[in-house]
Amino acid sequence: MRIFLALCVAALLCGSAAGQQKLLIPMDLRQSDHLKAYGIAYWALAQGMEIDWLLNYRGGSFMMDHSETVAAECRIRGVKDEQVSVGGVAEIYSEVQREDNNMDVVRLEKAPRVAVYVPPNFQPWDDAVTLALEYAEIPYEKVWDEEVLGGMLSRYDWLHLHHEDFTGQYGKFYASFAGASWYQDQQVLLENEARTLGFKKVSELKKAVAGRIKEYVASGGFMFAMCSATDTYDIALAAEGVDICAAMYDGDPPDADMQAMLDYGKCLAFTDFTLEKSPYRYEYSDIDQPPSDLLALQNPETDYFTLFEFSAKFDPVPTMLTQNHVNVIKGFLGQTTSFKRELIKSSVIILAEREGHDQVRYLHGNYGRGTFTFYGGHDPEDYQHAVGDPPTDLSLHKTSPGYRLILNNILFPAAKKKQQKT
Amino acid sequence: MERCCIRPLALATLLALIPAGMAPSQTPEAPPKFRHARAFEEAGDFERAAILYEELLAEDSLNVVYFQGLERVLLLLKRYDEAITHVQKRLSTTPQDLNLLASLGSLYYKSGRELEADEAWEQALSGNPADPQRYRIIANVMMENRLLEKAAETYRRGRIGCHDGNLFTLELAQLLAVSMDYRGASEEYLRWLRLNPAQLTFVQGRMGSYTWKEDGREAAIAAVRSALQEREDARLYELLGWLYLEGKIFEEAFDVFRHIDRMSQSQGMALLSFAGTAFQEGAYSVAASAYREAIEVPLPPAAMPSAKYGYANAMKELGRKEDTLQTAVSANVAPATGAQSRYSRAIAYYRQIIEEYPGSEFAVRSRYQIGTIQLEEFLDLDGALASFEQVVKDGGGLHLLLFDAVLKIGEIHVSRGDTAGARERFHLVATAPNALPDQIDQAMFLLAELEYFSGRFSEALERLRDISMNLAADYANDALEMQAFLQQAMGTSPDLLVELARADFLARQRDYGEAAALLRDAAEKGRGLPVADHALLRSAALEEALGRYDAAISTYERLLGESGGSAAALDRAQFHIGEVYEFGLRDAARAIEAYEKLLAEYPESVFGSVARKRIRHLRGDVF
Repeated sequence: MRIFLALCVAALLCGSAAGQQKLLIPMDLRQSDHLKAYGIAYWALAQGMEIDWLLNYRGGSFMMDHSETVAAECRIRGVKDEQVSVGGVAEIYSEVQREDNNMDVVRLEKAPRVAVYVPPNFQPWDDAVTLALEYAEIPYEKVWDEEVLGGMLSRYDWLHLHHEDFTGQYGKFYASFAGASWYQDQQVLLENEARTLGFKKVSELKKAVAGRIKEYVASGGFMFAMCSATDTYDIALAAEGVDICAAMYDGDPPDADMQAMLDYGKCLAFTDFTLEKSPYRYEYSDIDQPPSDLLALQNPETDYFTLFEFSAKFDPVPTMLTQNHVNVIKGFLGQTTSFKRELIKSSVIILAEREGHDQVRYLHGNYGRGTFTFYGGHDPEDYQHAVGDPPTDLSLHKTSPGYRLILNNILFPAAKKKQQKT
Repeated sequence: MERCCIRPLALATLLALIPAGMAPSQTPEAPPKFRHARAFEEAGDFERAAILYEELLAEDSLNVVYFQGLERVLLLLKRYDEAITHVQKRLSTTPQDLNLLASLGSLYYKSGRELEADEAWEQALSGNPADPQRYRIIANVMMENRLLEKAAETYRRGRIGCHDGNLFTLELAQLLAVSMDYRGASEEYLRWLRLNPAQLTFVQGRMGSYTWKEDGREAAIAAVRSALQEREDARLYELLGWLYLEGKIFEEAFDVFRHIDRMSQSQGMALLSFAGTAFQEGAYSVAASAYREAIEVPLPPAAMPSAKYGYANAMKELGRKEDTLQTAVSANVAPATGAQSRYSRAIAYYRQIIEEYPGSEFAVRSRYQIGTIQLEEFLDLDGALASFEQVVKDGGGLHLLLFDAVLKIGEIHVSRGDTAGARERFHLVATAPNALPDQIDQAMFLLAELEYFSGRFSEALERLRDISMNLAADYANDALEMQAFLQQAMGTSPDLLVELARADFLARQRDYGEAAALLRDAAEKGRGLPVADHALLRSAALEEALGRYDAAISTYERLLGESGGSAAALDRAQFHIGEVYEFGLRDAARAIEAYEKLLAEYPESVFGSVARKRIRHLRGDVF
């Protein structure tokens, strides 16, 4: 049946009135700038063009109608492209849709509207996702607590959570940076904002924001979180109605039996985690592996994680999210680096892990009509980023496989919804 | 008194002197129950600790330590109602206890009973409105509860209650700074400065915690300006000047330093110092004005030469900034339009310095500057030569400047076709033991060029090899490029190389017409060879430099059509076509077209990334 369909596709393509040539943007090792290639795909979508994402074909290549405009834009942005004849196109589609090939075609239809949840004093180079968006030239809008609570998330297809601490503990930087002016400013800003929005505590404000984001996902939104926005988000959901913050964060002690009061049923990805109660420890719970105060023991030379392979035909979503030109990727640390495997809910799909360890790097799940993806670590091309470090220059990492995973998530909402096969 | 009564009396006296509720830890052995309570508390078992503290308090109700222990664990357990009752019970015996009232208010606030919290604190404050300590204690407890505005209000109220408008200055300043009320914080620091005029540095240090931020600095400036309206104070001007310099607001800073100079009677020295700062920051116009004003004050005689030299330098930099017609393609070929008038003031001033301070370091430097302007801006070889030769004559102890002057003289000799004169000068610097490494490298490179001009290519290669050994050297890239060119040309067409060298020498002497003819000839003879590409590239570059843009484009296009196979020349030619359109003919559309053609036809070109940037810039792309 599939062969018949492939032949029909080929025939249609060959028989099309214009004999349309196509433009292929390869995403294998031949590509000179993978990150900007996503930008080209987004740009083409924004122009109203349709693009086929050829899952697992040459690293997840993009195919679209050829035009000199697109070809010129590829050249100007430094993205390699190949002109493909009508016959060549037919061959490619045949290959992709063959039964015995783990490949498939996903039609991308529209450029998703992207929002990034960031504080007012945010700089784009503070965050890996915005760095990637800026480099790939994908436009985005910024939202903050007022916009989230005001119901504005419905305007967007895709939401990225900045390195925000949804538990209201100011990133747990107290022990090292309590006296730093940026820390104090941040605390005052958030406290003022909480009061303005009608909350007595910052932790209460952040929980309310987390709840609204959950509603957004439930109603069909796509949420992507990195680093500490992953575990703190779920901890905030579980801690609804529970005070888990020490006095230096919210002015009063935490609930004595806070651990017992957590409701894991409200979490998206994690379960049965144990909170870190010491306010002086740079850690939120045991979700994060390895613990943040043991990062010095991690050897960058041996820190890699492996992408899982999925069936492109039966599991297009995880396949899209794991498109890459390599399947073993250099690790990188963050306030939350990886997730402890046994604390991940069974309904969640694990997309990548550090082999031989119980450390999951990348996961994905569904909630309601939407989805969420969590990616551990701070910056794929900065092994150990510290406060105040200079930003990463992505023009020096044009082929970064770690950054590709971020950009896979941005294009994924553009995909035409296919009937779920699993 | 009989001895039998003394001992009991002494003991009684001693006991009477021991205050009630003395901490058990002050006695040699704390009761076990207390130690257990502490242990439970430290282990986080607050429930058990609470039970033990209650029992201890029942046994010794006046004991402060037990009282505080119970209060603490009830708070940690968030049993606010019990804690409140506990404190109220204590208060019933000492109703005016300030710390108890503060604690009570805090407990009320934490339990969400804000009105009662305010009442408790109000009770504390109104007990003795003239007692500063009350306000401190209550403000502190408010700050612990992150009620920063309330705490500030309490301090302000304390000023009124204590009839002292200067109370709590530093506390308020710090609190307002943390609350990001930078205007308020600045006003408090200014109040402190008024009371402690010698502590300007201290105040600057404190304000520095927020004046590095633009909004912090603007607020501080507004506060100081407002204070200056009430009184003229040299310290306020110094503070304001510092703030403006932090924000690089030089025009305003200049105005302030005028005041500082006048008020401190520094005879222009404050202005001179400011002028130097402005010059280093590139604010040449302001620097020039400041130097001039300092000179006109007048400055003390010892400072005058330095000020005049600074002024002349600022004028020179202003002249350079006005030179907007200089483009990538036309530098150093002909004097830019209006060069004479732009630099005339600078030159006049340099000459004045030479006249007024003959033989001084500033005179020598001034003459060197004149020579540089004559050579680089006016292309006046005779004038420049005379200037540099005088520098060498007068040089004195400025040996590094002398070497630069000698190199310039050598370059002038090259421009005049006098290779012997040039060689002598370059050799002098190349072998000088106290010349800088960069100067030696430059001299070596210029000597290599001389060998090349004279047709001694092997000798040129030898000299270039020495320079290119140190890849960190400024001239390493130039040396490598010349080396590659010579090696290729010597291998394929040594005769044509001689003609190219002659053409390059003529071009250096600004005999562009003759040079261009020789290059065209070489290109013709060497058709099909890489050396022809070099000849065409150089010929086109000359056309560009002379402003003959259409001719330059034709030559580049001819190279593209006829290329002898030198791949490096093709993309360079295509790139230069784009540059000529962009900077010479100012035709953005054609420039974009040319750059796009480079990307399409030479995808691996080293000029690709620059071409992409130029396209994005010409298109007005936001990213």
